[in-house]
Amino acid sequence: MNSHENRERMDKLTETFLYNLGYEHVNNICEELDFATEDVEDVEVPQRLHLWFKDFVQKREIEANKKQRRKKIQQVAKRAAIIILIIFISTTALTLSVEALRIKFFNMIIETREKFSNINFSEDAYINGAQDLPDNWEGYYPTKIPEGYSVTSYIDEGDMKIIIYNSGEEELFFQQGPIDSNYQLDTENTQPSEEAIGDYEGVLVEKEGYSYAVWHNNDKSFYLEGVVDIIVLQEIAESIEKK
Amino acid sequence: MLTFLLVIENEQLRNKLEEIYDTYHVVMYATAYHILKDHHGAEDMVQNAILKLSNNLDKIKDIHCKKTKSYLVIIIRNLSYDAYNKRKKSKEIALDEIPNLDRDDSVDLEEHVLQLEKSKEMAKLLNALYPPYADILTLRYYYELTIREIAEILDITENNVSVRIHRALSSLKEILEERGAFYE
Repeated sequence: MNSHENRERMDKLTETFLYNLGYEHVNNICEELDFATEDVEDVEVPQRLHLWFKDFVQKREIEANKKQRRKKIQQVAKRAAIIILIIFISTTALTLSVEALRIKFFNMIIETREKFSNINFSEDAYINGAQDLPDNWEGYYPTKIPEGYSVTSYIDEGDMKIIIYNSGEEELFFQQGPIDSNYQLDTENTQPSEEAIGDYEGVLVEKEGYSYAVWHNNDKSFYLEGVVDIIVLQEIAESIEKK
Repeated sequence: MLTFLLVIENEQLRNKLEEIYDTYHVVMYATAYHILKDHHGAEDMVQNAILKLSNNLDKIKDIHCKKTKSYLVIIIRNLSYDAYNKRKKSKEIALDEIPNLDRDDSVDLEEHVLQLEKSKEMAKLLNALYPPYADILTLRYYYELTIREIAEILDITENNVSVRIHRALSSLKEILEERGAFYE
């Protein structure tokens, strides 16, 4: 056995010896206390000490609760910051054109209506968009989404809710927000179409393979986007219901 | 969910501390009083010990056992000795001025480590010589506390801890060498 191995062996044996020494010391202490039980019990502990301890425990608990509250606030603030960032990025991506159309729902004026041909799709082509949403979802959702799409993620932050559907190749993005939300659509080199979506007014845009819809009802405003035909998008928009 | 778990954890820690106090406050107070012979001093020591413990409750697994009982006695005993020495204004060697000993195994006990059966007697002798020596070796090698943890709980510097361990081992070696000849 070389000297390094021997050194290692002796170190381990020494530690074991000292561990055992400590173990025996602990036993010795307890034996001494057992012998001195009467002396120990004769000592009168002042009431002051008990009062101090009670006060100490209470203060410690208050401090611990404060720390927890601070931690919770930080967590909520972080989540809120992420949500705001997502909204900011998605809104910015749509606001690049000089001719971008800003829509405020209470001031919207419909000037012209284009006629869309009615294209009826068979019911088999759609599935319910509520599948995979949580049971406690309390917002709007499309009751008709094209077959092959399913929910991949959703965000629920009070008034603002987002559902993202994915077919494996393409995404369908649905957002609801307060009635006075601002949405901006890129309408450069394309003609927005002001249409009725259900019983309400909306705007439809088709550009470079994407279709967009912005509309409202008496409760909320909505945004829908996807790589689908504009007629299909309108059907999806008209199908929304509240869970 | 996280808040709920944190609340539970806080309540468990509070209950643990309360149980430790209820079980051992008399022993702790008596130990401190035995050294300091002063009720106010003994109170201060118990409060100090509870403060230290409250930051290290995870070290205590089973409250009602010899290991925990001795742990508390060792802490309060050492705190009390230090307080007693300060009060006496006894001239302690300026331990902080002694070069830091990184290796506390610089004392070679090689010849004696196989005498495990002598441990109980050695522990008594070491304790009789200077209780804090037996205490500090126990904290380091039996309770397996780090130098930093020992320094924090005994309210001394890490260098001080290293020096005490070194001196404890040196004293132990002397005892082993004297007694080793006797036992042989």
